[in-house]
Amino acid sequence: MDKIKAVIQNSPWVIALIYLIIGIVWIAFSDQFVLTLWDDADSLTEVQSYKGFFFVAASSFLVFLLVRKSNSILGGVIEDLQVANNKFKATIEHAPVGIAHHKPDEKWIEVNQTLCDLLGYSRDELMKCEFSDFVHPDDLQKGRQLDSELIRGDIKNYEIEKRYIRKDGTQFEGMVRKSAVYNGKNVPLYLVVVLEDITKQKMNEKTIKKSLQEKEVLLAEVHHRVRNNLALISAFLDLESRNVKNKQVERVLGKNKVRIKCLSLIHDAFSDNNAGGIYFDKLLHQLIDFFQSFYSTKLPAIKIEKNISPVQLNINLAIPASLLFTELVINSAPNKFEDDSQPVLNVFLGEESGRITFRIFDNWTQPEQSELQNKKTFPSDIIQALVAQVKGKLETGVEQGKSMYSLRFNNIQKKGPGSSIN
Amino acid sequence: MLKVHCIEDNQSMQNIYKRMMEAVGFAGEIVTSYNGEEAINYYKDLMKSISEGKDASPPDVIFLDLNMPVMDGWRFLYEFYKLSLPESARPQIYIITSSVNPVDEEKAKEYDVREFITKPLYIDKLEELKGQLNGKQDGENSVNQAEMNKPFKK
Repeated sequence: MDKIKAVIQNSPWVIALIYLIIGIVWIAFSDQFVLTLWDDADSLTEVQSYKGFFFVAASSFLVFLLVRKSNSILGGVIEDLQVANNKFKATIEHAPVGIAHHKPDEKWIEVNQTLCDLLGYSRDELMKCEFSDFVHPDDLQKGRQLDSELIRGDIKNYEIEKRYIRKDGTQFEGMVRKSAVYNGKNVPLYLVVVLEDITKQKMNEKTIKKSLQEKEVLLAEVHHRVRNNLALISAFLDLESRNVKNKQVERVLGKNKVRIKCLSLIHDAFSDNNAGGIYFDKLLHQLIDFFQSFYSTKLPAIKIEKNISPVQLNINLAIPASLLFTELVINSAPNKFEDDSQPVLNVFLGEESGRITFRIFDNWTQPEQSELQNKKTFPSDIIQALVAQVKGKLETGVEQGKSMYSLRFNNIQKKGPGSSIN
Repeated sequence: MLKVHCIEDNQSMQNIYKRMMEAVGFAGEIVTSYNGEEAINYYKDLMKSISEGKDASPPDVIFLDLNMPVMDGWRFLYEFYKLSLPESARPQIYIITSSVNPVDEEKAKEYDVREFITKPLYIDKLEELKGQLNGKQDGENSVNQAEMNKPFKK
C-alpha cells in the first residue's frame, strides 16, 4: 500500500519531466533535421504542420497509455478497498455482539443486525428508538453518567451490566462496553457501543452461588450436628456417672467426658480452619479455660500459668497434640488436695525453627505417684500412641520437686491422609 | 421448685436435659420448645392468659440454644424483648450452645443473659445453677429486684 502511494505521489513529476525533455529535444533537433531536407518556405510550412500533428498525436497516445494504466491501478485499488470494506461491514453486521455508533446526544449513527435482533426491533425502528425505550429505567441513569464521563474525556472506556427490555417487553441482562472517538481537537464525534447478552452467564453464576451456599449450609449443619452429638455423649456419660459408686469407674467416666470435650473443641478449631492449619495456641487456651471450669466444681480453683506462643499446626498434628495435652492434664489432675495450698499448673508452648516444645508441670503430683510414670497403665498406652503419631519425644522429669512432662516434635506441614484441605 | 423452659431443637438433648434436671431435682415443671418461634408463641399465649386473669405462671428459667431452624436463639431474644413481659414474669435466660465463638459470647452480653454456657451442660453445672437460683428465690429479694429492674436490652 505504501509502495503504491509512493509511486502515485512521485510519478506525475517524473512523467512531466520526461515529457518536458523529450519535447525540448524534439523542438530543438526536429527543426534542424527538417531544414536539412527542405529549404522552400511552402514545403517547410507544410512539413512543420505535419510535424505538429505528429507531436500532438504522439502526445495523445502517450496520455491515453498513461491514463489507461493509472485507471487500471485505481480500479484494482478501489476493488480491493470495496472487498475490505464489505468484509469489515459484514464483520460488524454479523458479529456475535450488538455493535452501534451513536452521537454524544444519544442519536444513533448506525446499528448492526445483532443489536436489532438482541432488542427485537427492525433497523428502522431501532434507529428511531430512545435509550429509555430499551434500557431498564433503574439502570438508565448510571449508564448516562458514564457516557458523560466518556464525552468529557474523564475515562477512555467503560463496561457495566445493565438490564435491557426487548420490544416484546421481555428482559435480559446485558454487558455493555463503550468508548468514544474524538476528532483532532478532542471533540467527541461518536461513541462506540458493544452490547452482549449475559443472561446465561448470570444464570450460571446464580446456580453456582446457590450451590455454594447450599454446601456452606450443609457443612455448617454437619459441624453443628457433630458438636451436638459429642455434647450428647458427654451428657450421657455425665448422667451415667451419677449412678456409679466405684470411684475408679467414676474417674474413668470423668476422664472420658474431658476427652470428648477436647475432641469437640478440636472439631470447632477445624471448622474455622484456614488454609494454613489450626491455631494450636488458640485451641490450647480454650482447652485450658475448659479445664479450669471443669475442675472448679470439685477442687480448689487451679491456677494456670500460661506461656503460650502462637503456633499453627497441620490438622494431622493438631489432633494428637491436643489429645496429648488433655491426657497429660486429666491424668495428673488430683482427686483432692491434702493441704490448702493453691494448685498451680504451668503450661509452656513454643516453636523454634520448626521444632515445637510443649511442657507442663504442676505443683501437686509427686513424681513417684504419677500414673504416667507407670508404663503399664492404660493412659500411658494412649499417651505413647499419641506421641508416636506426632513422631515426637516425651520426656518425664522433675522440676521444682514435682513431675514435669516435656514433649518435642517437628512441625511438619506435609500433606497426609485426612489433611487434604491443607 | 423451678419452672424451666427448654428451647432446643435437638430432641435427644431435650430428653437428656430433662433427665439431668430430674436427677438433681432442678425443676418442678419443664416446658419444651423446638425453635424460637414455638417459644415466642408460648409467651404470647402466656401473656394472653395473664391478661385474661387466668392462672398462668411464667417460667423461672429459660435454657436457650442458639443454632436452631425456623427461628434461631438470637432472633428469639430480639422478639422476646419486643414482647416486653412484665418484670415479675421475666425468666432468667441462660444460653446453652455448642458455639465456642467469642463473637457469640460478646453478642450475648448485649442482652440480659445470665450466663453463656458452652455445651455440654454438666450435672455439676446444673447444681451450681440450682444453688444460684434457689438462693435468689428464697429471700434475697433486694438483689433479685435489682436484677429484675435492669433494662432487658443493655
